[in-house]
Amino acid sequence: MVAVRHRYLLVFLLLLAPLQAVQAAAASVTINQAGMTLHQDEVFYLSASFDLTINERMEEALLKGVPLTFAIDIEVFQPRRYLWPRVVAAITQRYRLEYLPLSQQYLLKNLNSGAQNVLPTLAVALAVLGTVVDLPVIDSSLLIADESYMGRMKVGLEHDELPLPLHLQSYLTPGWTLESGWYSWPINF
Amino acid sequence: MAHKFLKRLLSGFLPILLLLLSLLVSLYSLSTAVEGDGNLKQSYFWLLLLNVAGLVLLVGLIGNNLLRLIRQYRNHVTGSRLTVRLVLIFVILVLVPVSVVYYFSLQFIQRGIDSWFDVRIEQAFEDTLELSRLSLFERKREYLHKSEKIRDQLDRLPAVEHPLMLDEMRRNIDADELDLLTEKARVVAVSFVDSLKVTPWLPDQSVLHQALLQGQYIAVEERQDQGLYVRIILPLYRQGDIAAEQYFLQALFPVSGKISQLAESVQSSYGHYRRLAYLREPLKFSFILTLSLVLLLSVLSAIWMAFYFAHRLVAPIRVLAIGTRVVASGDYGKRLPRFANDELGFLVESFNEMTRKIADGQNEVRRSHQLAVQERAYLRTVLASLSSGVLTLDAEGTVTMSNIAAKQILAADLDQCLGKPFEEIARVFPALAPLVEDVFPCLQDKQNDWQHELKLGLSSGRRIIICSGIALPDIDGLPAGHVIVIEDVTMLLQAQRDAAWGEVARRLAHEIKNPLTPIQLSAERLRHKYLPDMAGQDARLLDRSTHTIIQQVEVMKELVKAFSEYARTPRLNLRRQDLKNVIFEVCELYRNDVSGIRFKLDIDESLPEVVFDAGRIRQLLHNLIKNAREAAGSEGSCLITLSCHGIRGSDRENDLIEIHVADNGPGIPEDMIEQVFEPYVTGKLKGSGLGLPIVKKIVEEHGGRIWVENLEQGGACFIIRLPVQGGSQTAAGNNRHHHRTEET
Repeated sequence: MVAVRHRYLLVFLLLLAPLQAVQAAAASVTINQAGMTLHQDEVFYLSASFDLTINERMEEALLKGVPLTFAIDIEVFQPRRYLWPRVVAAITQRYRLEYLPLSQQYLLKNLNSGAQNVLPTLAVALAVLGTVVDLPVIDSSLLIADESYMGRMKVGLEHDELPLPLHLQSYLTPGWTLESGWYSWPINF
Repeated sequence: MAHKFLKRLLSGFLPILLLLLSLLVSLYSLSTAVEGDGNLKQSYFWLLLLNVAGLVLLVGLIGNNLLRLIRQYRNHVTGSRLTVRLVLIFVILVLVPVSVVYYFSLQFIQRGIDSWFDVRIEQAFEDTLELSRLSLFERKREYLHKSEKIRDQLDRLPAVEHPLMLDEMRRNIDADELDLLTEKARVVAVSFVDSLKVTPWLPDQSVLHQALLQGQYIAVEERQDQGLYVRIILPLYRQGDIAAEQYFLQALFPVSGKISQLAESVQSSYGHYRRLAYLREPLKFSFILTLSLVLLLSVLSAIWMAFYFAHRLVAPIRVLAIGTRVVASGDYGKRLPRFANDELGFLVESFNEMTRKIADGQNEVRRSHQLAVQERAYLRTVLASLSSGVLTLDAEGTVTMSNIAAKQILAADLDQCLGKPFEEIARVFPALAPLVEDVFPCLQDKQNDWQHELKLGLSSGRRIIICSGIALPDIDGLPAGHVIVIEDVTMLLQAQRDAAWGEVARRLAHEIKNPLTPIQLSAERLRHKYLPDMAGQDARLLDRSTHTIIQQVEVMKELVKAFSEYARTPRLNLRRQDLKNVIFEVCELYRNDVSGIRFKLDIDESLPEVVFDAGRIRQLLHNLIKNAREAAGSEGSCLITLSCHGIRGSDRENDLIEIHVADNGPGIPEDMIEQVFEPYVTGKLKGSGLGLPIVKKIVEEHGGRIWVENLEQGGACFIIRLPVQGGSQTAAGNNRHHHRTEET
């Protein structure tokens, strides 16, 4: 009973307290490298790798049947001196990581293409997720050769895709923030 | 302007109602979202924020109201106490049931959600899953075994033959698909059971990597729309060709339809259950959060409404209270605005009616008071202008009022006796004792109408007064007192007497004077004609007789002359002159007189000049001196004290000169003192009896007064008062009027 009361108290406190997310110690995402190359078909392909680790709370949710959705935001933009950059192209690749209890494996599904992989361990699944190979981003004809373009990407956990009760909690309790900053690189023709 | 608008916006009922409604709608959406409506899921967080913001706004409004109420309470603003009480009652009325409902709702959420989950169900799910796993495990082993055989066969064959053998091998092991793949997951050779199929189901590169590391890869995977498959990947071992590319064999075995379906169903159900169990606490949290928000909204809006309605309820009462206070302080003109058609409105209406009536009554009282004051003033004026003195007594015989005429007639400041018993007058003014003694019995006997004539010796001389009394009509059966009317009839009586004597004198003079001259002439003729011819006895007789006749006629002529003197009203020759000189002149005439009169003069040197007729005043003095000499009797013993001094009046117009002429004679008998100024009233042997009446006449001609007093050391003193500015020539009848104006 006391515990229950304390929980109500917590609810009220959380309502009134400023909504802040405390960085959980174990969850992080670091983009190691990313770059675009122009292939024969005149399309820029992105290759990137990032280390993504999730904390215990996320892993528990995953194992308890809550799929985690990650988004890779990729933008091609033109930096401007005094204004915000002009975004030429923006694509988002979303992956859903899911635990399969029957085979005790992890299912990684590209929500854009529908392609899915069954991976034996979480580490492998995260490693697979953290490797982007030859993702077509933009046709070079859409870019003007003389001008300078930059590419940038960021990776993060999609809160909105969490089930609603967890969604609310992910805002109110720490340990649910997973987001890399923008990682930029120049685009060379 | 903006501030005002904001204030009106925040204090009005409609804006707040709209706010509450919108909050209610958003809360409804929130609860719908919690229940799992996918459309609202995205906006859940924002709905939550919106609600919190709305609640904060409400809290702010309530805080504002509360602060205002506290301030009013501290300043003892009318109605604030009642408002506080009403707000408290409302809040308690709301809080108690809502708290109870909240408590039980929480219990229901806790227990309800918990009751969905059961350890036994969870165990059953686990077991089912394990069963499925075991079932698949057997299959997997079998398929692995088959695949390893194929791999061994392939290993023994040269690479170029691999594609050719693949179809046969696939048939042998009864696989759906058999592929040869490179490290980079490129297809080297494929074999399908379904000839229509052309695309192999390729694994991820990492899977190949894992297969290489672990020597094998085996997994049950779900193929899109085709159910479960067992995927087996085995690396090919090729001796002696280290530099060459690594190849993999992939075999795909379908899990039979029913098993696949069941396994999938088990997996999804188990996953669903696990997810629900895991989300139990967050779900409770969400429910409780939503419930708490709803509760807060209800409570806060109820509190706000408590404030609002308490204010609304108290407003007319407050106005009434203020109105009552205003009325209590004496302002009956206050009208209260009418609020509603309920009982309070009726109360306000009645209050207005009451104050209106009170105001009317008050006006009526004020009007009648004013009327009474006017009446009083009118009565006062009338009484003041009355020549009769009026004295009113109340039922107990207390003097309540006296007019100016009463004071003048009685020569007493009766104001000193106001509010005192009537008998007190005798004590304060001993001269009025006869009046009190005479009137008091009448008052005691409660005689209704009486009239008495009295004589009073006042400082203004002896006065004859007619005193009449009337009992005032009873008021409500209670005696209301008396009115005593006092009239000074001294002058009137005197004038009547004077007029009668004047007429007598005139007629007497006329009737007697006419025969006197023929008598005298006849006597003288007799004497002239017969006396020389007679001798002896006859001659003496005739001489004596005619002499007597002539002499007596002479005397009678004198008498007639005195009469006509008395009766006539000569023209006065008034001039402003020095009275002292006249007095000295007259006294000088008697200084060497054989009668041996002695004068004792006491003349004020600073006497002002007086307007008078010197001839008449001389006669006056002669008459008085003659009277004194005659009163003194024996020759040479007459001492006349003559004093003259001024009496200052209220202004120059009213200044008087007072002349005292006192003798050392025997004085005037008390019973005669009233009549000494009437003709033929004399105690002396000699004299015409007209001396003093003429004196009085002269004094009155000059607008003055004369009276006589007996002195204590013997002798009589005639006191004359003459106005410095001269008086009228009119008769004594007007004298009193003149006197009053002098004094007012």
